[in-house]
Parts: sequence; C-alpha cells; structure tokens
Amino acid sequence: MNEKEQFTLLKKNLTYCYKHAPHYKRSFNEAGVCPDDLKSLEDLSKVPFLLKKDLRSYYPTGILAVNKRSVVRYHASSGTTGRPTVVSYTKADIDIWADMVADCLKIAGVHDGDIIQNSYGYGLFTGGLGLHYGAEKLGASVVPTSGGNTARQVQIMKDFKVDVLCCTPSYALYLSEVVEQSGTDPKELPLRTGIFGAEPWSDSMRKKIEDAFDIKAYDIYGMSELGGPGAGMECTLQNGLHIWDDKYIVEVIDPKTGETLPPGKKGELVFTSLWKEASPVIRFRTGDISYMYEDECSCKSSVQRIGRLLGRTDDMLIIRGVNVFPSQIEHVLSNIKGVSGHYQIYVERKGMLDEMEVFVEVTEEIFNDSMGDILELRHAIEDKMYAVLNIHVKVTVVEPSTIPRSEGKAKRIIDKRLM
Amino acid sequence: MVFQISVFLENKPNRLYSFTKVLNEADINLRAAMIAETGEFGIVRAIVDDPDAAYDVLKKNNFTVKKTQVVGVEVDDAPGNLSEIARVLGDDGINIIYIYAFSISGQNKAFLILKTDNITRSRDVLADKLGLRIITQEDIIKL
Repeated sequence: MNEKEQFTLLKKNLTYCYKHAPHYKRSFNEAGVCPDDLKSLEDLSKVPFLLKKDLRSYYPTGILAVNKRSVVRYHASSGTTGRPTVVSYTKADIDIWADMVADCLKIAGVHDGDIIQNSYGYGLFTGGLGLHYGAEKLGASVVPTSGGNTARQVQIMKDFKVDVLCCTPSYALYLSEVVEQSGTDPKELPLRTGIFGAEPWSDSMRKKIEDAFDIKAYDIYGMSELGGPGAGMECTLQNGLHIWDDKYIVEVIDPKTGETLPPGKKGELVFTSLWKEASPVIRFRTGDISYMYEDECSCKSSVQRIGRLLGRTDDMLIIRGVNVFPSQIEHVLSNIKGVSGHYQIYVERKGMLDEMEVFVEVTEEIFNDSMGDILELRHAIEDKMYAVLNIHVKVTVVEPSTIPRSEGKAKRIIDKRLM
Repeated sequence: MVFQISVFLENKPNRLYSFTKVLNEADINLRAAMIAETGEFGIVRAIVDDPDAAYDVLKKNNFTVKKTQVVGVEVDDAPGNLSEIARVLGDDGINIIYIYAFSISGQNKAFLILKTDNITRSRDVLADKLGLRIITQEDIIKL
C-alpha cells in the first residue's frame, strides 16, 4: 500500500474517531487540531498521543467509538494499579483481526491443513483467542491447548503430529526440555514452525529454540491495546517485523520529547490503528522500544517494518507473558500491615520458566515472637499478589533495613533472565 | 515472671553472629537460647541477664526485636517432670507453643521456659497443681 492510500485511510479513520469517540473529540479539540487539518502523513505528528493511563480511565468498557450493544467481545490486559485496560471488539473487528493474524501466519509459511497447537492462554488475554481465530481463518486445524499442563501439551504435540506451535518463547524452550525428559528427541517431532511472542526474546534465545526442535521460530508482535497479537510479524526471511500498512501507521518517537524519529533511530513505538471500530487507537504510546527499517523487505508483505523489541520505556516486566508493573506490587504491599514500603523484585528463569520473587521487609508491628504470624503474612501477600497479577509470586520476608535504599530512584528490580 | 528476647533473623551465614556480637559488646550474658527456623528465616529466643538492656541495644542496631513474657519454672532434673507439666496444662485447656530448658550446674535442677497461649493461667496452674517454683528475673540474674 502506498503513502497516498494510507493517508486516505488515516483521514477516514481520524474523522470516524473524532465523530464517534468522545475521548478523541476532546483530546483533538484541546490540542487544537481537527482531522481536516491533516494534509499529509507527516501531519499526524500534530495529533495528540494516547497514553495507557487514558485507556485505563475508560474501565470497564474501554475507549468506545460504537454503541455498547455492538460490542461482541471484550479483552483486557493488566493495568498498573490492578485495574485492567479493557479493549472492545465489534463483529467486524473480530473478523479483521482474524484476517490479520491469518496473514501473519501465512508470511511465516503456515498454511491450511497445518496442525497448530495454540498454547497461548485463552481468556481475557488476547493471545489465545487471537491466534485461534487467525489460524481457523487460515484453514489450519487448531488444537486449543491453552497454557499449562505441560505433560499433556507434550503428549498432544507428539500424538497429533503438530506442525506449528504458538506460545511464549520461554514456554517453547521449557516444552523442548520436557519433551527431552520424556525420552523423545525434540528434533524428531514433526514440528516445523514456531510462532512466538508476548514477551521480548533475543536472537540467541531464538537460536536455542530453533536448535532444540529443529524448527524455524518467528517473532509475532502485538498488545491488547492494538487489538492483540498480529500487529507485527516476521516473514520467513526473519529480517524485522512487518506492520500491515492497511492496519496501522507506526511511528518511532523520542520518549522524552515526543518528537518523531527517522528510520534506524531507536525510540518508542507509537501505533495508530486504521481498522478498529470499537476501540480505535490514535498515536498510542506502546512503551516498547524499537526502530523502523528504511528499506523494503523482498517479501513485499508491507512497507512498514520494525526491528525486534529492544526494551521498554517504563519498568514493566513481562513474566510468562503477563505484564507486571512494579507499581502493582507496591499497591498490594501498601495495603498490607506488617511490611515496610521497601521491596525488591527478583526475576530469574528457572528451567526456562520465569520466576518472580518479591522481597519484603518485616516490621516490628507484625513481629511478636510468633513464627505462624510471619508465615501467615507471607501467604497473605502471595495470595493478594496472585489475585492482582494472576501469576504466582514467591514472597520472602527479610529483616528491616536490608533492602538497599538507593539515592534517587530505588533499584527495585533485579532481572537475571537471559533474554 | 521472666522476660525473653525474640529476634527475627534471616537464615543466612553470619546473622546469628551479628546478633550475639551486639549482646557481647553490650556485656549482656546469654543464659539460654533457642532457634526456630523455616527455610528463609528464623526466630532466635533468648534468656539474658538484662532483657531491657538487650532490647535497647538490639533495637538500636536495627534488629526486629520483641520482649515477651514467658513462664519459667524450676524442676528437678529427673524423668517424667516435663510430661507432668504438659499433662496439667493440657487438662486445663492451655496450648503450649514452645518449650526450652536449661539445667543449672551442680544443682540437679533445670529451668524450664514455656510459651503458652495463656501465660498467667499457666503460671497459676503450674504453681497450684504441681507446686512448682515460678522463677523470676532475679533467678536468672543470679545464675
């Protein structure tokens, strides 16, 4: 798709948002822009950004540009203070999203008739259902295993002679180990392709997975705010992630100044959706750091292409595909009596699975010579963490004043994972 | 009545030493101590000659410390005595949380330290039903 066509789509979309989503009408007016002011793609930089906190304020319906009755599905991602960010979909949204994911699978060499094991979690998280609908649309046979129960996942992979595996890269590596432990060489499995995403992973990790299973592993990008997985996808050349020109306009900005950066320069990815009816995003700041390619990929899937993710602008952690903000942990702790406000998060990869441990300081308030009280406190924190984050966190109670207090910004996170 | 010092310690090398060092430097004498532990942390409970001073100096050195009341009784260092104590307390519906003991050199006697869910009642039951001598902080100092 050329620039002119993309601009036409953009303008149509901005006009739609201005007319139907009160949020955009207000933010455009405050910034003194109206969709008609835009004369070229470059003018998009005049439009205000959309922040995660804006979206969060629209809990529980999400930013809506349609009547609530037209919404056929809701998804949500974890928010920074325990309040999730909700994304809504119309029937058309679901269809287009499925098309988009099907196209993603296609450029990674997946085709109809392939048996796809989808080990992304099914539920509020967009990963499971997103890949599911896309794979069905492609005409593949989906085995919706969802996450967990690794022994059964391995059995299914063997028995169903699975061609394509979809999951987080760390889970893929873990699966390869479990297959090996079961007495089967993972290389002997019919598995051909892996579609891995929902967490950052390095080229060395890719090599590990590819070698373990003797497959090709492709990076898929997305986040619920953008609609889910499929916003970006590697083709079989594994040279950057394609962003569908007719679905999104992607910009890279300097996270400090907000200025648009040229191709090749690292910065924060900003997405504008061109297809979303229910929850359109205009200049959404993803918090993800990457860069744009200048040249076009020889596969011609799209003009826009981004490099693999390099990090985050904020302190968000991705643990087993789940977004975790330290502020969520802080929020939990602030409501619990007996621990100081100081904490430290330690993340490591044990047997290829992410494990998060939170160290908290006991206070004299809770300590009264009883072992049981401290153990109970620990359980209470672990339960609360699970309720908010949906992942198991190990809580370790330490002595007061032992968690380092640093000047200025405290070093709250120790991430020992090798990405 | 006897006061006991309890300290929360992480279960790692040198933590016990840091605790004893503080007491040592303040010239406080440990009469008895016991450690209860889970994997990551433990609680050290100690009987010292001067619990107030111990509490202050530990607190000053950033330890999580509590001074708690426990029951101390003097028993003959002979078989069956602990069994009797456990029986009468149990018959009275008192739950024993922990016990530790230390014998007194040359006297054939032992001091038993008890933590129960009802300290005052435990003291009365042990004195009335078994005629045991309840020890005081004075007894500890004299050791």
